[in-house]
Amino acid sequence: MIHKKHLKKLIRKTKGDRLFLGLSYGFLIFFSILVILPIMNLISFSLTPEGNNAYVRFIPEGFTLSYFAYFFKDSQFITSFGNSVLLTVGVTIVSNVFMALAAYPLSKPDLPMKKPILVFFIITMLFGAGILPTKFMLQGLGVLGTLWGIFLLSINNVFNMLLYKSFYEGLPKETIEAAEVDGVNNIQLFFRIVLPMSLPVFASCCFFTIVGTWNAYSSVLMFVGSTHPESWTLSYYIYYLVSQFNPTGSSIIKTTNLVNYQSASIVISTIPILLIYPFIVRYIKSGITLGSEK
Amino acid sequence: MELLAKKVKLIRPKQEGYWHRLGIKLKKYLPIMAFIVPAAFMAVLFGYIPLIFLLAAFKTNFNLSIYTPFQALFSPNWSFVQFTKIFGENADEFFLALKNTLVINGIKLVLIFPIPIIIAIMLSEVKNATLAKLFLIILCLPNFLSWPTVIGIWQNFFRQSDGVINSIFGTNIGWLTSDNGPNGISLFRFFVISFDAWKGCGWNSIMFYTAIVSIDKSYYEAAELDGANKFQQTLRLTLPSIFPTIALMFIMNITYILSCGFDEINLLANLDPNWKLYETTLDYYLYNQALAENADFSYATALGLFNSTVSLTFMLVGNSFCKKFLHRGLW
Repeated sequence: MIHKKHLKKLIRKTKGDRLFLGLSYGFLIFFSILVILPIMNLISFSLTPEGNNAYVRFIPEGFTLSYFAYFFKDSQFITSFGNSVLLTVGVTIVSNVFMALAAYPLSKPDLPMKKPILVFFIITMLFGAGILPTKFMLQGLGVLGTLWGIFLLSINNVFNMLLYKSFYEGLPKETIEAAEVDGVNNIQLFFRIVLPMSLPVFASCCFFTIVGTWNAYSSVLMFVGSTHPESWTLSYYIYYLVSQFNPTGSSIIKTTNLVNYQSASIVISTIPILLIYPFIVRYIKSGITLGSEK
Repeated sequence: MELLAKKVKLIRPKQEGYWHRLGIKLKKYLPIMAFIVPAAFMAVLFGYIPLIFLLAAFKTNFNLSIYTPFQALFSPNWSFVQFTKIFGENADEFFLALKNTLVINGIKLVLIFPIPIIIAIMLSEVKNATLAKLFLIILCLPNFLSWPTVIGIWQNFFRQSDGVINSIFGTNIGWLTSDNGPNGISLFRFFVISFDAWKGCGWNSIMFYTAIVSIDKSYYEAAELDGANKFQQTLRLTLPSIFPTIALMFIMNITYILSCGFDEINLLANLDPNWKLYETTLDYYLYNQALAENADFSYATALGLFNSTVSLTFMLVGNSFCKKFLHRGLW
């Protein structure tokens, strides 16, 4: 019988092992630098005063907040920021409530018509009608070119529904059976027992909805467009800056400092995501594992 | 005696038919089945009703008017002319788009797909939990940035004036434009693929990482006792253990082979005025046909229908393949 302590001594780290460990750390650090440097460069550009752009690498050349200050006076930017906040909050609440509710009956193994209902939802995820039919639908509802249209389009998220469903299915059977024996009906069971136990999946789904809604620009491009600047979202505003289009006659597009303005606007638009990112990291892994075990 | 007989009758279970059982179930589940209604309503509104407009793909010419949509949709000028147009009149454009899409996705599948696996293997070597988490947080960050942000970040490196690359090397190359790029070569494909890798690799590694972490540690101890070094352990133990996950992700990527991210391609296309001439992808072609000034509703819808149908077929085949051989599906 070999004791564990002796085992450790017996198995010496070979040269190959140490090489492997070194390579691992080396590559991980390399990849991390590859992620961090461009972001540092972005922040540097947003802080560098006029005339120093040619010298900017990864630290600011000088210091100014004038680019940030500009966006607090740019009415289009403020409108877009407000729209993004409204849309993100609205979609996150409504979409997750709808999906969490719909997933609950579907998590019951002996629900009548379970399979047809599931297929009904999954088809909408797999088979889209395309841009023009959707656009026509929005036009028919009178919400084309408004934030309401984007809101309505973003609500159904079948992927999240499946995440909720598989989480409910994985909840401990004993607790739920005990509640059923106590005479709790299905609705009370959901609100009193299932929902409080599902906070992790709720948090990660909300996070994914927040990020997805905040970052989406192509739906705004297709169903709002440049002709309705009052309904732009922030990522669409940045899309315009990055693409150097100028429909609203904004004064910064023409300046030689567009780089700095653009970088500043990107930094501002990323701050909300960065603020919630650390809080949610611990939930991410559970969410991903759920998705993989579907 | 009579009383006892009555009791026995009461205790004896009733003959339960299918409808009876369904009735009991419905009584039990009808209240919570109402929970489905809001989501189902939205699914009908934006998932199913728009499907009616796919009928427009089977028309010779089609003028959609908001006031009489159904009159136009069910008018008797049925034909397959829009589909023959895709493969006949517009075959050059269509097949160019198809080829570019397949090339970009093929390169991604060969060169980019292994990177998350490598990251995951290396991450599992980091035994310090805090450090591993720190690496994970950093590497996952780009996935949560929007595409305009990602392109904006890299634009700072590759733009012609004041771009970091140009100011380091003292060159004056428009990396992102095709007309004055290096030696006149368009780097479009390179950028699409590498920006996509920068954004997604860290995030995609999480799935492999969780698969590796869940491998039984005693296998590794046994392998160590047998004198296998880390390289051999990775090759003989880690990779075979996470093979189902790898296969699943690979098939999943194949099923998405006809779509290569509209968001980033549209952004890169906007940065290059000459771009449309020779680099277009299926998503972008579809978008251009649908939202052009004088868009042909029928043609765009036919294109969309074709694309959706092929994608759906790919996914269904991929999913049944996964379910059969890997015993777990994509959904």
